[in-house]
Amino acid sequence: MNPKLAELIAETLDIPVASVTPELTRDEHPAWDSLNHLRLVTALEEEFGVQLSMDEIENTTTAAQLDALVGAAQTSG
Amino acid sequence: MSDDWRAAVDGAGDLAALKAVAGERAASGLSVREAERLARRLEALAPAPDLRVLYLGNHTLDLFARCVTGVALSRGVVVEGQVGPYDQHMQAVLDPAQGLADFDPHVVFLTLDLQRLLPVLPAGLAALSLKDRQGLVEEALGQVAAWVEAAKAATGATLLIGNFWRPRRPHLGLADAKLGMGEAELYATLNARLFRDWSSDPQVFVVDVDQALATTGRRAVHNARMAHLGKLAWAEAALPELAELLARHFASLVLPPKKCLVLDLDNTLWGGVLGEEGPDGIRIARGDPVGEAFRAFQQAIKAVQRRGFLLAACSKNNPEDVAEAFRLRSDMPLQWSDFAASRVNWEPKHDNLAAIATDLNIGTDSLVFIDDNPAECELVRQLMPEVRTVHLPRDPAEYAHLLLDLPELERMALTDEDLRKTEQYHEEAKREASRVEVGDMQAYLESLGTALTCWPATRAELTRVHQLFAKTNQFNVTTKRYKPAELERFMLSPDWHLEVVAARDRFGDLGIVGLFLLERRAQSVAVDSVILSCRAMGRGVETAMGNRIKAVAADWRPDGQLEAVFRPTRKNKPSADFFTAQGFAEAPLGDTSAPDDRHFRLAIGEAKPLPVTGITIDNGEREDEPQAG
Repeated sequence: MNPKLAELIAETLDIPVASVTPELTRDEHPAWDSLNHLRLVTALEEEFGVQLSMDEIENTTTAAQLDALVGAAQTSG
Repeated sequence: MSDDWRAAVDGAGDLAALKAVAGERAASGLSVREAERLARRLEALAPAPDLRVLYLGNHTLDLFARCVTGVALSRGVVVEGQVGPYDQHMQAVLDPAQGLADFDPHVVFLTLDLQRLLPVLPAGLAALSLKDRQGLVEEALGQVAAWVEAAKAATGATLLIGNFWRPRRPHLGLADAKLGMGEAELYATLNARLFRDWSSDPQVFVVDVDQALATTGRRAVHNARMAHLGKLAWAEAALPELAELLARHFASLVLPPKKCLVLDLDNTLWGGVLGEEGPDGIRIARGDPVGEAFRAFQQAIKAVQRRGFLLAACSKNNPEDVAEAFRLRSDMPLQWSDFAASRVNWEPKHDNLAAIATDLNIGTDSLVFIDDNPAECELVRQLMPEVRTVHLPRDPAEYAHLLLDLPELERMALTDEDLRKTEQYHEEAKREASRVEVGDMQAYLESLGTALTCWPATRAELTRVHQLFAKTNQFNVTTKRYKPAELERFMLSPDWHLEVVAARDRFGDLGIVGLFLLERRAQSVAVDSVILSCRAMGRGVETAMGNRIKAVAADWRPDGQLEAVFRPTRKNKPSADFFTAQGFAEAPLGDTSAPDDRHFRLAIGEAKPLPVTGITIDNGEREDEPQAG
């Protein structure tokens, strides 16, 4: 998992970076609510220069998916 | 955010430590994440808040509220925020059980997204008739007014209303300008009316949200995806500037106000060193770019003076040189008469600052000191940490903006007294001078020819009355800081008597200088508050007010007791002897809940008016409006 992404997730959700694993899931983590999800997207768009569509934002539910989106955007860019 | 700073926030063990860490970022500004981190830590420490703030609106405000808490803390204000349910601002004020009752906010902030308030706006505006478009203005203002009315019935809190922010572009594009009450005109009209409609209401303040968003940049603050996905009308980028705006309001509501701007002269008010370049060599002329920058700074200072601040000059110079410079350079925006006090000499600045504070009868903690010399600034910072010291940047082009940006110079409203303050201090200086000439106190007081007018306070005086309660530290027997809504209730209640005292003398009009508040109880009359501005102290107005208190008490409870409390603070020693001087006897109650309180009593039947020298008092109906000031 991209270490910078793990850091952003940890900071946005206010959790230790060690606890950010690819299995981390929106539904299961209380701090990962809809507002923090949007903030996370904003932060990673800024950090990695990517742009997610509204559907992508809505349908992304795990750290692994975010990691994949970031990775795909970076290799294509 | 740096790891060190973050660790310091998370490690702050108490409020003082957290305030100190937050304060480090007060000048540079906080990012949303930094502000949020502060807010989280503050929540964990759970100190008693200075202000409880309720946020209401028709868009998502949770993140904004946390951001405001962080920014306010960096200014030294502890805010406990609560966000009302989305789009239920009317319900929240109509049904106090929805939060107003339990939370009991000091401030309620309302912000409405006009496009949600008037769903016809985005697409349908052009389809409406001109009359219907104009009707939209009344519709939106009507909704705000209905909310204010309901809110006032439910709470005495200060009401902050955000104005309406314009979209990036009108939906009709360029043609909007030709529509007649198109979108641009609609927003401009609404906002102009909002300001005007609430300008004289002391409980309601319109917050210029539109301006704050424009300052950040409309491209950055409108994010359509966030609006659609999260009902976030303001993107994260918009929040720091908006939070700063609210934090300024909060600081001005609760922090002790600064009162005087102390200015260095060389390379502060003008370019160059007067002692070397002479009055013709200093740079302050029109046409000289550097001179123009200093002129802009002087004009900004002039504007701050009109906010009710006193100006003082503090400079290492020969006094004759400075006098000559102000005489010869009468083209400067600032004149020597603008300064209410000055110290031009070679003494250390911290001594001079203390002397200036003494001259003006204010505390050194009321001073804002501005100088270009880093060494002078550092010394004052170390020796007088209570003074707000501002070190000017290298480039005078930045001076004016820096001054107008200072949060310590904010006032939420101005009174006639504020607008005339410098004039009043010059009148005071003349009074002082004549005190020196006359020598004999009795003769001096008579020579002043003080005339007092007393009358029960009405709404017309509410702003000044509130200001006296909020700002008076020295002659204030209980230092109760009532809110405007509470003061309004005292004015209307038959069991309370709130009376104001205006003064004038042969040197000028001092305006409303004092007040007292009495409560009628079953067997007694309680003196709740007695307040006198320091400008009117020591000339017998105290006794005149004491006599009025006795007269009102005699009307109410001729056989009862007058009961009073003096509650000592760090600053109100000048009023400590008031009750004894008026013939009250100290009567300890053995009350352990407030051990510092001193209690006084006086049998109303035995209360006699005391003689006052050289003062005429008019306590009847006033024939005309009080003079400005």
